[in-house]
Amino acid sequence: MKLTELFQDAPNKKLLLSGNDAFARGIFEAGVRFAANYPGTPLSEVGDNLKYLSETRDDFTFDYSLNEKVALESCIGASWSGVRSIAMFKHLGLNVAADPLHSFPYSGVKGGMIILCGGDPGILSSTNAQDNRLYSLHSKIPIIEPGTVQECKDFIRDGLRLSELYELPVYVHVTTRICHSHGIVTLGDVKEPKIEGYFEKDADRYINTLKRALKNQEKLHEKITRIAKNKKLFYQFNRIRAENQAKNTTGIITSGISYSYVIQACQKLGIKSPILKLGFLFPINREEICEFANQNHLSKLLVVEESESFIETFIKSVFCNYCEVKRDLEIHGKDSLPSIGELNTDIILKFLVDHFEHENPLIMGQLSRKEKILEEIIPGLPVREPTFCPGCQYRPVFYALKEITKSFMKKEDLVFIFAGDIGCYTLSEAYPYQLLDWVTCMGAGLGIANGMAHVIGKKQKLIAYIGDSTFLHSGIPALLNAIKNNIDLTLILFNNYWTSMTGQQEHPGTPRKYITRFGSKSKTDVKELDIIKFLQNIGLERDNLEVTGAYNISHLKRLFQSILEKDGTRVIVINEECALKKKRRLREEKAALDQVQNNYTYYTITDTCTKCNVCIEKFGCPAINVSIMENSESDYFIDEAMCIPEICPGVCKSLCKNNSILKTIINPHLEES
Amino acid sequence: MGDIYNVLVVGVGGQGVILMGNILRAYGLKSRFIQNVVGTETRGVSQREGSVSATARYLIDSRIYTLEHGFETEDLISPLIPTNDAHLVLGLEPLETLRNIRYISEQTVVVLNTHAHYPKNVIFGSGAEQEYPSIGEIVDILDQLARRTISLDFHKLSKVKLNNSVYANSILLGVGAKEFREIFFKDLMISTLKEQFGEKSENLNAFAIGYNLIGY
Repeated sequence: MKLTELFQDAPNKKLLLSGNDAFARGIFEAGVRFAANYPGTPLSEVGDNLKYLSETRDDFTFDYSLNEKVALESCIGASWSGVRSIAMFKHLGLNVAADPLHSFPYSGVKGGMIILCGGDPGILSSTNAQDNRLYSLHSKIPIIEPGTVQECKDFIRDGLRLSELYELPVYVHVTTRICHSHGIVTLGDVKEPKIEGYFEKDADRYINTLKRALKNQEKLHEKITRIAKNKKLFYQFNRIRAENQAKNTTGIITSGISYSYVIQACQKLGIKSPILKLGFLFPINREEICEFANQNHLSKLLVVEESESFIETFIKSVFCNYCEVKRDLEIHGKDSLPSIGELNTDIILKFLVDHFEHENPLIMGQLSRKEKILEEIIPGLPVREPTFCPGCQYRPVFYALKEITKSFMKKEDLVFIFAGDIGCYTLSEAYPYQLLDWVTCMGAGLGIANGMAHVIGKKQKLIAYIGDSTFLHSGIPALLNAIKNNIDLTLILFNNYWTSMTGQQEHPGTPRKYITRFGSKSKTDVKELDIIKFLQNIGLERDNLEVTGAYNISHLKRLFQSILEKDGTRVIVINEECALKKKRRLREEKAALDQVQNNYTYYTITDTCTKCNVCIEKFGCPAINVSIMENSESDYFIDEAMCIPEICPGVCKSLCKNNSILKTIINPHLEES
Repeated sequence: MGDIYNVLVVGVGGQGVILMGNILRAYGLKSRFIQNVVGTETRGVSQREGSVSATARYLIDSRIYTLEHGFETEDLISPLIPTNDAHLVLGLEPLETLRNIRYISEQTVVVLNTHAHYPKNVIFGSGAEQEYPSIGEIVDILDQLARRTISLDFHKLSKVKLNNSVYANSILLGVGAKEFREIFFKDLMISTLKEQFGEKSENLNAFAIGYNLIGY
């Protein structure tokens, strides 16, 4: 999606957007003044879109915040000053921001405010599948959930109106599948944001302590009760699809992406059940739920939702404690639907087949033949393990670390413990390095190592990893704590200048000169944080801080050797830009300057190769590959399309004992002459 | 009213699966006979060297192509294809095509690039006990299950015809488009590719090579 197209002022135009594009468009249309984000899949691309918007318009500000707590608090500040704001991050980010989340709703908001959070029920790119809808039970904020790409855009506008109507933040719950869905979206009118905010003091409202807090809590509860009874809201956010008016009908309540699977499964089975698609998940309007059951003469109700039984629990309480007519309504959901993993049409198809006593269309036809293949062949297929990018600056570091720790283990009978964190370096878990012992949450590598260091014996040595962005996000307190106690630990700080794993977003330590700015809006006032200077001033012993590049393996080995022999808290900073980002950045810069490339460098494998496998088996750069020829012989080669000689100075060449990797430099201008 | 038509693209991260999905969905928005289009792709940590897939689902005007059911625009929301329901599978890699066999049935046409991308852990390392199935075996299974399978080393073809293997996907797309030429109009597809790759891209030639590869 071209960004100029995404943010054009063209009402009623139809565009093909992803869920994340649609959120950004919705934020633009709704006249939001301030948005803040810490990148995280599945929502990363929303921020990337908004960065562009922020740099091309004076009436919108977007901030890549240091972490989710700062992002949420910034948005509270903007909202209390009377402008519209949106905080967004992945589901796990809400844990980091949970502290303000549980208190500021007592004070409420002034300008409309949305918290947009992307859940990951299939754990496709996270460390857990927590169901953030449950936060509503203790934070008491309304939840809405879009179910189509169009709704991703529209719910931002409608959610902000709801937020302003009740002076409460609104939580927009989405999941990976919606964020990464593509669909046709009809654009709407663009509302101009209110440019300047003004904070009006109100001690009773904002100083949330003691008696005042108690009063504010009462206000919050009263607002939620009012929302639950608002019939207009119920029909604004929820959709009912009902044709069947027969007695003793089975109805379905669902929400979000599950709705699309329900529709698909009903089509396949030819079932025309009344379906209530909830867009408003909390608080539930009890009268209207009863009305749905009554009007459609339901005798049975099926609740289809991913993760926990959130909707089901509320629905059951409606019919158990509240609804006079339908006390005997049969309700099913998580008694047979899985709480673990994502749902899909197949799962719902089976669920509906059971409840409608319908013939399963999947069992018919050729599936029996296919089932055999599915059961016997597919599970045994080789798995593709993810790895570092070709030319990645982490690969030589882990290669050197593996060699050195192996020699230490042999000589001194030591066992190394590798404390992992969130970032690309979790891939060190995979073959051929396997230098990782845990991954829990942001900052927990160092945090957990802190306690372990106090209690383990001399035979075990701790090495912790952290990236620059994760370090700034939540690693600093754990490191300061380690230094305070001078615990025995070596921290490898991978300073690659970007929040790389989520798409190379900038962070406070990113060199300003490397950041591309769109548009004319000047951002020169943004300061750069020097991580090395910071580390020099937090009480580390002078000899216990080393800074190095990433591509010289023999240098890295010497450095690891000497630092691992020392005592106390030690930090090695690997100062090397993310290779993938650097490649793209240099290409962009070159294109912008219209520069002609002078030299082309190639790495090739010559016939002298003895197939010792060091470059593939131990180093494992994906650019080095093997093709199996027709006579079953293997042929080693370097894939030109993957190799990035402009960034990586040929680490594979330095590792090749037979000098079989050849570096060729071609100057096209010389050749021509 | 229209009929739902499903395209599945499968391959290895970095092969161009996501781009192919984008092109197919962009085509869907352009064609006046396609009333609605949805789709998705797998992302996240699986990208680098991992298994990747993308979908494009169209609601097609029944006048140009008739499948079994009559649907409304709002019936096509789910970005995922149900089991058995792919009409066209573009297999950029044999192992990944086999892995997605669940979606292939008697109504499916498979266009397969037989050029294998071997997982490293199978050649050496942690998965060394696992075997990459033979290409013949994979083609056999596809032949048994699909309506029609067109398998070819598109890498080699691209290298021979255009001097570089990077155009393999565009040739393969051409073959797939020809198979369903009632849906994929040649000129409209080429103008979609132009928007993606530029006016003079070799990909346009590659697509034409694929389109003219099999005569009917």
